[in-house]
Amino acid sequence: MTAAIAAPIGIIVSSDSHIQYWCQAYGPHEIAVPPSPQDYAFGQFVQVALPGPAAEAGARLIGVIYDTVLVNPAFGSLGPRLSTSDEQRAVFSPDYLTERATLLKILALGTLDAASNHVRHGVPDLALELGALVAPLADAEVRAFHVFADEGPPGGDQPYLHMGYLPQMISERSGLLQQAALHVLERLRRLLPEHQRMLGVVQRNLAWKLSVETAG
Amino acid sequence: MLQAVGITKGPGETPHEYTFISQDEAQILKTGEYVWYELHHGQNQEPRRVLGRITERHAVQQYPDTFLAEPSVPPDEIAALIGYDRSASDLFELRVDIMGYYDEQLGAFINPWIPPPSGRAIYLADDALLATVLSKRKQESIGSAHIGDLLTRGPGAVPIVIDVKELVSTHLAIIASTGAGKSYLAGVLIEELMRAYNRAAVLIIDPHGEYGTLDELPNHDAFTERAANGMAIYRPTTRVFKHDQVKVRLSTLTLADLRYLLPEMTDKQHHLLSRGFRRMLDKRKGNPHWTAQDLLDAIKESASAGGEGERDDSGTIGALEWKIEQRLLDNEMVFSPSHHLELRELCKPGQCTVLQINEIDERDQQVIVATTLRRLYNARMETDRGKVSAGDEKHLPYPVFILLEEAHHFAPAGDDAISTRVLKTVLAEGRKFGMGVGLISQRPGKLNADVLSQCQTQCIMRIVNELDQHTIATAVESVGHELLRNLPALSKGQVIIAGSAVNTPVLCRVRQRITRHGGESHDAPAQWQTYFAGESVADRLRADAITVRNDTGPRLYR
Repeated sequence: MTAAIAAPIGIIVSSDSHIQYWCQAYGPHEIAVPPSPQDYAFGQFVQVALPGPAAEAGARLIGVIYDTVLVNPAFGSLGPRLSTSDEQRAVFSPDYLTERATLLKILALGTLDAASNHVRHGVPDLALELGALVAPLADAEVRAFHVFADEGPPGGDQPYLHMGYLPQMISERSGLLQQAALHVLERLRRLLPEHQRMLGVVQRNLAWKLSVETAG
Repeated sequence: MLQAVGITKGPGETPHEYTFISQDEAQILKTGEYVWYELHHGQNQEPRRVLGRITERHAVQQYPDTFLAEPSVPPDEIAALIGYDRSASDLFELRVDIMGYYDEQLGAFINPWIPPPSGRAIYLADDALLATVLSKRKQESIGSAHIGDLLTRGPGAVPIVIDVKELVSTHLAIIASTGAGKSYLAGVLIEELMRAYNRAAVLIIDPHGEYGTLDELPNHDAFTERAANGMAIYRPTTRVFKHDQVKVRLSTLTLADLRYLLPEMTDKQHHLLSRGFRRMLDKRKGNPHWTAQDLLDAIKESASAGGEGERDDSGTIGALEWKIEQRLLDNEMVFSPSHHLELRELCKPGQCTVLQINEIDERDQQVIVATTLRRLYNARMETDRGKVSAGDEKHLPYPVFILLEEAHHFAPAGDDAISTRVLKTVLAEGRKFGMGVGLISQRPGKLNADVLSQCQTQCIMRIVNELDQHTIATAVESVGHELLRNLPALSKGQVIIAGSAVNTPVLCRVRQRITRHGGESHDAPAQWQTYFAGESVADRLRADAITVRNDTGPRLYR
């Protein structure tokens, strides 16, 4: 896990809880290469450096994007205004654009320590800092985050597939989190064909709960 | 260091039950298994181990059905995937029937009358503890019968030894479906009774001729006791009486026996028979041995001397005469005017007597059983009361144990067989005079319920028939219903032993017999195969061939 952290897609701007964070995606002109919408798609894995000495050692929080909110301060301002076109505004008041934003909701799934090769699923010990950079997780890192050997019992020294965050995702009230879990399962099935069958069982169970039982 | 297997959860439905929770990863907490907890009852007293038997086991935590949907994906791998420790997935709640703590002085379990509090550690009873408390006797001690070992433990780990003293005084019933191994169990019991530490006087009434193989007993070293110099001090004997040797002396028949033997009699015939019978006995005072002819003569005499000359009884007498002739005179195989088996021949300590009464009419069999039991009972009673002395025909100065195969023939439910009445007397009063009975039956539903309920020790093997199960449940009070639920699930050679000869009902695996078993079923396919074996075919061809003589000598043609 020595792969360089990919180009950031945004920064942490707020949080709802210890595991739920708001990330503001970079807009045009904020960085040299702004992220494309595919980089912060629904169900995308992301990584954020943990604060303090842990960050220097390469410890990162791994999360998943489970909601996107578009913020437009001008929305609802239906009073009289000067008719200024967007092009003119871009030239005469460039900071106006920044008030529009794309906010992403991120759920913390666990931590990944690149240096010690240590992965942990579940609620992380440390909270993120405001302004921390959020970057997408490459396929190899997604694999590393999911397929590893336990340090002691129960799994023995053989690497196997982990999704220890799944109960947390499913039990959250947000219906979007549950849908995000389905997306994650779908993505992992493509990424880890050797675990196709097991993921299939879990995905079918979840789909049954979310679609058949909900509609029935 | 003792390792607890679970923790008590709380009281069960009754005051004598409790439940406990266990992961039971080693799968040792089977139904019927014994567990204990410590009871502290007093500051200066040693804590007691309160034993109980597991009666029910159900899972309180197990994988959801959806985890079990894909046979190729083990559910514990799915559990591991979502971060669950796969080594401890199941959790069970077990219900325990409290037996109590064992009081060595009383030789019985004492119920504490209070279930354990929640959170108490539960331990599995070890083999040594069970071997001490389940059986009343030590293996191979005087008055012990080693029937087998505890089913829930390994072979030989916990021997089940029943108390022969209780067996002889309070009777035994062996109940099982065909093929469950009841004759085998009876064989084991007889072997134990004939061992040097019992030397019992055993009489077996064998309507199927299955117990002939017991004649191996005297020649088997296991049954012989030798002195230090190798001389045999004790060696059991076996006497097998074939059906043509089993005789009933007419003088042992009572009026009730005669009425039973001569069925479908009219009231008038009954009257004439009883008058004639009494007259004959009066006439023969001092010489009780009568013949069928004596009875016939007495009937005729009493009819003519009865002052009823004006009535014509000749038709009735003729019919009665015909019945008596047909039943008693022409049936010399069973009824004899002078001979029967002497009691001292029939029963003596260290002797196992087999009365093979196959090939005898069922009513005659019932009369044989009734007269034999009555003679033994009277002899035991009179000997016990000091009314007879050595040398007398009725002198029987030792207790006897009678094993009755196919007991439902001799004490049928709803039908008043002559042997039922005698059996009831023996079962009710035999205890006073040292006369024990063991009933063996494959149809408890057809067995007289009073008779069955008098047997205080029960060996119950596999029974599938619901009527039979119901009969057992109502007639056998010492076996709990939860134990009887196991009846259809028992395999061949597994038995529930309950009642006075054991301390508590136990599930037992019957031990191997030392002598050969004689009651095995025929292997029909193998016997059909031998019909076509080379030699048999040649023999048959020779037997069926027609002999034709010509000039060159005899020739065989097909």
